[in-house]
Amino acid sequence: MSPKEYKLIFAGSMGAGKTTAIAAISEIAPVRTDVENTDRANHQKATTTAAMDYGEVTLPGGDKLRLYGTPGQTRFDFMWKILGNGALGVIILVDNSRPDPLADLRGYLQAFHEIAQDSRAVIGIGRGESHPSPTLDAFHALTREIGICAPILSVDVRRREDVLLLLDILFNQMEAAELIDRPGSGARPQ
Amino acid sequence: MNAVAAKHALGITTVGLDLRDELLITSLLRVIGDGTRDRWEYRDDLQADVALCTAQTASALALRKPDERSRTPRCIPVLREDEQQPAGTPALRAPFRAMELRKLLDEVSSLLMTRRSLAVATTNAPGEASAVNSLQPFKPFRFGLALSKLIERASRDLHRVEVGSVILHVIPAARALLLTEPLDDESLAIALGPRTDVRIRQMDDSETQRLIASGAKPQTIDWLLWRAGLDGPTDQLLPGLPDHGEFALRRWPDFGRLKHKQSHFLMAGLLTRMAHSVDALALASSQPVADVYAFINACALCDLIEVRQEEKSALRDTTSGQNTSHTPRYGGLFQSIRSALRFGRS
Amino acid sequence: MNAPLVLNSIDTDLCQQQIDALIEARPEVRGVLVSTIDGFEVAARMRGKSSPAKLAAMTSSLLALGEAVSDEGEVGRCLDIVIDASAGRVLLMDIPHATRKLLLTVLSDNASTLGQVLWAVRNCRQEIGRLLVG
Repeated sequence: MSPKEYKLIFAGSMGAGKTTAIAAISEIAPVRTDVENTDRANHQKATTTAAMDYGEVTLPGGDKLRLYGTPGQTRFDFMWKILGNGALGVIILVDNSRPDPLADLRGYLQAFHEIAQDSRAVIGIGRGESHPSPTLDAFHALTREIGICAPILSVDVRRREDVLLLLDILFNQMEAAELIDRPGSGARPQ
Repeated sequence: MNAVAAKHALGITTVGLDLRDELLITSLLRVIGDGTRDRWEYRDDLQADVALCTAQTASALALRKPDERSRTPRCIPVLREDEQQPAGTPALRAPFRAMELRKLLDEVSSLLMTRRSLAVATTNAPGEASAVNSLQPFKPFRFGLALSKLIERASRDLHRVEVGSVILHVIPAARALLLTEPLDDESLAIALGPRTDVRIRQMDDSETQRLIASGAKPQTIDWLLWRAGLDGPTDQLLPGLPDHGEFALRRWPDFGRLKHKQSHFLMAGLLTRMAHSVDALALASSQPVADVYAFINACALCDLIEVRQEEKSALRDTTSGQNTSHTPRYGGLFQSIRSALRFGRS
Repeated sequence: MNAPLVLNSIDTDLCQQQIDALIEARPEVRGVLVSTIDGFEVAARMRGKSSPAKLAAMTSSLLALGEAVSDEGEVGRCLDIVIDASAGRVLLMDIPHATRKLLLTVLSDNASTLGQVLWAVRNCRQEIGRLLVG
C-alpha cells in the first residue's frame, strides 16, 4: 500500500500566527514564502506570507501530514482555494487585536465554508487576553448565523500545546461527526 | 475535591408496605450498597431513622403526637401512579428504581442533618444579601449553584461571595470575577466543598473602586463555574437536570481556558451534534458514567446545556454500539497523527 | 483596501509611461502590470478583462513560490517565471532596484517567439529599474 498524504490548512488574518503554528509542529524547517510587507499602515509586520507556508509531519507507517499556511490578506484568496482543495481540515486563526475580527472570521468561513459545514474546521482566537472584545459569544453568534457549529478556543499559538489542542479538538469533532452521521460506513477512500 | 464525610449508619424500615415492595426495597438497598452519602441499614423495628410507608400510613403517623421516644422515624410516603406528593416532604414513587431511591436517601440525609444542626445563623449583611446557606448540610454543587444563580440575575453591581474562608468578587452581568491574586488549589477546594457555607452580599461602587485600585483584574468566571461542575459529585446530575433527559451543547466550551480532559473533546463533539442521555453519551464516547456526569454538570453550570426530554429511542439506537460496529471513515488516521505529534489519547 | 503608497506619483507615472511604451511597441503584448512584492498594483494597462489587482496578488505568490523552489533546488535566486499557455504567455519577474521591490507581469499572445517578447520585456524592466528615483 502506497503511503497516504493528508493536508491540513492553517488560515487566518495576517499576523494571527499561521506561520508560527506550523513551525511549532512541523518536523522539517517550514518552507516560507515571506516577502516584504509594504502595507505598514494596516499591519506593522515587516514581512508577510505571499504564497504559503509549508510543513510536514511523518506518520507511523510512512504516511505524511502536510501542513499548509495560507496568506492572510483577502487579495490572496485564490491561494486559499488552491490550498484548501482536498484538505482534511482547516484551522482558522483570528487575531482579536485587529480592527474587525468578526469580519475576518466571516471571510475565512465563507472561503472554507464547505469544510466548515462538514465539521472539519476549528477556530482559534488569539490575543484575547489583551483584546477581550469581541467575546467568544460574539464569535459563536456569528458561526451560528452562518449555520456552522465549530469549536472556538482562546489560544496562543506560540505555545505548541495550544496548537496541538486545536488539532485534537478538530479531530475529535470529526470523529464525533463520523460516529453520529456515518455509523457503519466503510474506510475512507484515499 | 469534596469534603469527605465519615459515613455513619442510618436505619430505614417499611411500614404498611406489602411484602413484595418490602423485598424490593431491601434488595435495592443492597444494589445501592455504598453509593449513598450516609450508610443505610434496613431495620425491622421503629428504631429506624426513616420509615417508608403507604401514603395513608404516613398521614396517620403524622397525626400521632410525638411520643416519649427520642427517635420517631421520619415517614416517607410511597406513592402509586395516581397519588399526589404531599407538600414539604420527600416521597418515593413506584415503580421503585435504584437511582430514585438513592437520591431520596441522600435527600433524607440532608434533612436529618438539618434537624440535627444547632446553629442557625442567617447573618445577612445590612443592605442586601441573598443565597445564604448558613447551615452546612451536605449539599452537592452548593457553591456552583449559588454562583450560577447569581450570574443569572445579571446584576451590574459588585457582589462579594464569601465561601468558607475564601472571598471572591463577582460582577454578574459581566460574568466577571475580580481577583487580586489567583485562587490556589486549597482555596478552590474550600469553595467547592459541599458543606462550605456560601454568603453573597451586594457591595457598593466604592468597593469596586477599592478593588480595582488594589490591582484586581476582571476575568471571566466561566472557569470557576466549570470547575464547580467538574469537581463536584460524579454520581449525579446537577439538581434541576432531569435524570432521564437528553442533553445537547449550545456551543463548544472554550477548552483553551477551561480545565479539560482529552475525553471531553469527543463528548463535546457528540453533544454539539445531537442530544444524548447520560448512558448514551457514556456508550458513544466509551467513557465512564462518572466522567459523563462531571462533564455535563460543568457544561450546565456554564449555561451551555440544553435539556431535551427523551427523544425518539431510534436516535439512541444510532449511537449505541457504534464503537464496535463500524469502521471509521478516517481509519486510524487521528490516532497516528496523535502518536506522531505525541498528544492526546495514547 | 487601497494599495499603500510605496511609490510617489512621479515614479508611478514613470512606470505607467514604460508600460504604455511597451504595449504600443509590441502588438503581441496584451497587458503589462507593475506591482509591489507583496501583491499590490502600482500601474497597469490591460486589454481584455484581466484584473490587475488579482494579477498583482498572483504574481506576488508565484514569484515567492519561485524563490522557495529555487532555494530548495539550490539554483540561486529566482529571476523570472514564464507560463506557457495554450493561447499565450505570462511572464513574471522582479524589477532590479536597490531599494524598491517591484514586480513586472506581462501578458502576450503567441504571435512572436518567446525570445522576442523576453528581449522587449527585459528592456522595459531595466528601464524602470534605472529610472526609479528610489
